[in-house]
Amino acid sequence: MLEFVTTRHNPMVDPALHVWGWEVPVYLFLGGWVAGSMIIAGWLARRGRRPGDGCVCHVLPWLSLVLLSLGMGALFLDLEHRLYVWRMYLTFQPLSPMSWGGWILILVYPVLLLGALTSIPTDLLSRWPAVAALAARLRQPEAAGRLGMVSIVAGIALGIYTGILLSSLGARPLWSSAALGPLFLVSGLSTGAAFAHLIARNADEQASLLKADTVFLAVELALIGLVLVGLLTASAVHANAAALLLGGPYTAVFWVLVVGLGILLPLLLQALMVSHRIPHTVIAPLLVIGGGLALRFVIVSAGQYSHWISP
Amino acid sequence: MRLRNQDGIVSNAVRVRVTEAIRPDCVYMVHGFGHTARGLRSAYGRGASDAQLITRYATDPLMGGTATNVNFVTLEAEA
Amino acid sequence: MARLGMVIDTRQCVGCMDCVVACKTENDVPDGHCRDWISQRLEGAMPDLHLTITSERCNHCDRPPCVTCCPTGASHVHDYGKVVLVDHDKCIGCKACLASCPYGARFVHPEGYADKCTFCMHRVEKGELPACVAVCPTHAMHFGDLDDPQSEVSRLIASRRHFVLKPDAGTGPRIYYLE
Repeated sequence: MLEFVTTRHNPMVDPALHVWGWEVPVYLFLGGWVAGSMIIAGWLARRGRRPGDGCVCHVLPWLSLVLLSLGMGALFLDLEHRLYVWRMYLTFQPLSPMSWGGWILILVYPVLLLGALTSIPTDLLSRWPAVAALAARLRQPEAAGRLGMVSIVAGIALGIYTGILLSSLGARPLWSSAALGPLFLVSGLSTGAAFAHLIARNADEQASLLKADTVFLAVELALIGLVLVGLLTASAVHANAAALLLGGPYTAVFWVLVVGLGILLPLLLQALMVSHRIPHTVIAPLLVIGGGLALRFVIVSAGQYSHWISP
Repeated sequence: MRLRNQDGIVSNAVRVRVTEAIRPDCVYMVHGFGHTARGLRSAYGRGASDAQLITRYATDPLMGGTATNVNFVTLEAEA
Repeated sequence: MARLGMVIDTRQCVGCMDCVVACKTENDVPDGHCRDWISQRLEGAMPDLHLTITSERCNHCDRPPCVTCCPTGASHVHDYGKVVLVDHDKCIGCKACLASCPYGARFVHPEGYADKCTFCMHRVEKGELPACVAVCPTHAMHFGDLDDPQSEVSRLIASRRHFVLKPDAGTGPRIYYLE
């Protein structure tokens, strides 16, 4: 039995770390959603979708621009030394995933803008001939395909770097998993696919997005399992962190909200919808989207609570 | 929790920690808290006063020294 | 000047907190925050007890995770003594460094930047000792160059049983506690 007493009393650090509140999970959720949308839009563009054919991929860049801006707004609010935020963009720190992220966010915007540009009807662009010419060029099959690939790569970078960022903070043992980056990416893909399915007007697209989302949900579940197995078999410090979700204070919210309502139930409903055993419902995609938000909140909160237990 | 002594005096509410560091039949309080003078703006009402709970003492017949370890407390949970 | 570090004798430390007060005074640490603190670890069951009192602060690690995670380079390793410092004007207050420290040594200064023990570099560069080391009434604290085998700190480590905090976190802390 070790009794530990300390006189330290720093705000946001003691008795347990809580430096990141709602702003960071909200950004992680929106960033993941945008990443998923970018990958889906890029994929559809490479499959030959063209503006005017009612493909959902034409509205996704617009949606992504709004969501990502909201996410970056949340991130800005989280900073304690906001007026110095421009310092992020005077340097690149190759070992800092947060530095990667700052630059990834900057590079994602032009990709989204170009994607949004291709969906604007040409007559609305007639006042800006150079822009109209660019939009026309991007509508050519080869250019559209290349932009789609760029969109996919940028989406993967956006969706995966946040998980890598958290996993690089070894002092928070709950996040010490190489599967955390892929987990966030797949969760973002799942959220993106669920929402795209909700707003898709083309019946074929609706069906294939539903199928894709079902696969993403299953992979997400597997990745959560891998994260937990990895922690339980790593060390006492990491097993102690995993226990937060397996009997500790975060057990209920994790298994009920994140896994149960956020993955398992929609997975079941969507599998039944895909095989036409139950009629279509919006409940499943909405649960998926809510589950993505819950996943970020639980991981960020529980991760900060976890700590290096050796004396 | 609050501490109630053998004469019914009840202290302010304080947090309690179980420890191996002292005898099992003892309670330890930091001296100097639980001030009752309103002028001590930062200290007034903070913590519990151990002196308040010392209502009995024994006197050494030879030199008059006082022993205060004749007071006993029970712990009461704060509702 | 190679790597500066500290050696603290837990047999001499009584937990008086002079080091905490000295640091607050010397470095104008804001109210409600502390750069250093006293910890007590009590093991065993009455009457077989073992108490260790430690004066703790940033360990100025050899492999500081707080430096690698910083997106602006505000958190950096200073040339002189290889101590870990924060450039206030580069810090954006993202708090990744707070999350990356296994020792919880950092805090957010009310002005917005991340702050912590600096080994009193403003004193050390003038040839003085850090404030906490200078005031310790039991002379429990020692400061010096760990890469100089003849320095007081190196000799104490070589000759006495010692430990560091959370060695399995892998950061290479440079504060050694004598048993």
